Amino acid sequence: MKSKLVIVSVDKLQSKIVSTLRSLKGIGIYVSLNKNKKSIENILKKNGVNVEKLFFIDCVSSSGAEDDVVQISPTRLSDIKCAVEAFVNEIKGKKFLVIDALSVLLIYNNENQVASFVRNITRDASDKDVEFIAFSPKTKGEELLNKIFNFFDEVKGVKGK
Amino acid sequence: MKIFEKNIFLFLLLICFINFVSSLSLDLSIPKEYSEVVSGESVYFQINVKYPENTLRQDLVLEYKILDENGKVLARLETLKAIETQFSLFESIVVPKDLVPGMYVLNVQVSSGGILMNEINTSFNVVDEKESLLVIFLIIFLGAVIFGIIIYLISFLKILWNKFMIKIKVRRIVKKRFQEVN
Repeated sequence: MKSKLVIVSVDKLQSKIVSTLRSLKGIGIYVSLNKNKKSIENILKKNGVNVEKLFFIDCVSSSGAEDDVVQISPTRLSDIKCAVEAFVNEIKGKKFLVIDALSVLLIYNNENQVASFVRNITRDASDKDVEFIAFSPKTKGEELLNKIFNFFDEVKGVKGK
Repeated sequence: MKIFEKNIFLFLLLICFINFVSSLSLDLSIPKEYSEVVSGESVYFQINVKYPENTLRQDLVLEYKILDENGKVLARLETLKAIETQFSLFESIVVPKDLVPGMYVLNVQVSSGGILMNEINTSFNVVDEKESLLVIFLIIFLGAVIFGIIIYLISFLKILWNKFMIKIKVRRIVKKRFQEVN
């Protein structure tokens, strides 16, 4: 399975995510780093994405009140990885993983930690036949993007790539 | 025979005196934690005096002495205690400040009316203050290391527990979703 890094401008990020999700087949794991589950669910529903096929890892909310979503602090990269692994193991059949948006992790972690996290996620996704798409706005984390380019099979939206 | 008759009173007195001395038993012990002291600090000890043949209340003079290996008295303390049949005391005597590290003798004498009734010795060690500080430092260091290990283990177990709970929650969410779909 392919891993893909999509870099777009902030204003086009949401529409790119929506169009990507529409095109993906199978069950999805959605790691939301900049919107809580309810917000992202509403946006996706409005844009005709079937949210029933998505499992959310919410890295914004921390109430722990909702039963149908895993809430993890963005500082806990190993817990996010653990949750992704658990979803991958539990979901049978074709599946994909979406991270929205990768550069947000830089607010809470240093570049090397994020790069290591991305490397582990891409490797595990490749091993377990999971299609992995990470989104990142163009404006943030140039240094990080330079570090993680090589971990992805495909990088979209950057000049020279 | 004549000599015996003449001195019978003296013999009887001697027998009485022997009985009088031997009937008071004395036991002295230094607790393990005080077997090594720094000069200038106190050495603590336990005295048990048993005087079963005594029926009346009697005053005893207890004299504590610290002696060096040559028997020279380095410190001395005297106290008066009343006894009927027995008593136990936990006493202390200050070790002189200028003592060099080494073994010293603690001597306890019990007397009454100027007559020595019993005495007993035990030894203790005077250690260098630096040595003592080193031991304290080592204890604190070991304590800190053990504390650090405990904190590390707790945080490690907490991480494992969090991951376990995440897996359980994910399993429940996926199961619930597929049940709803079916």
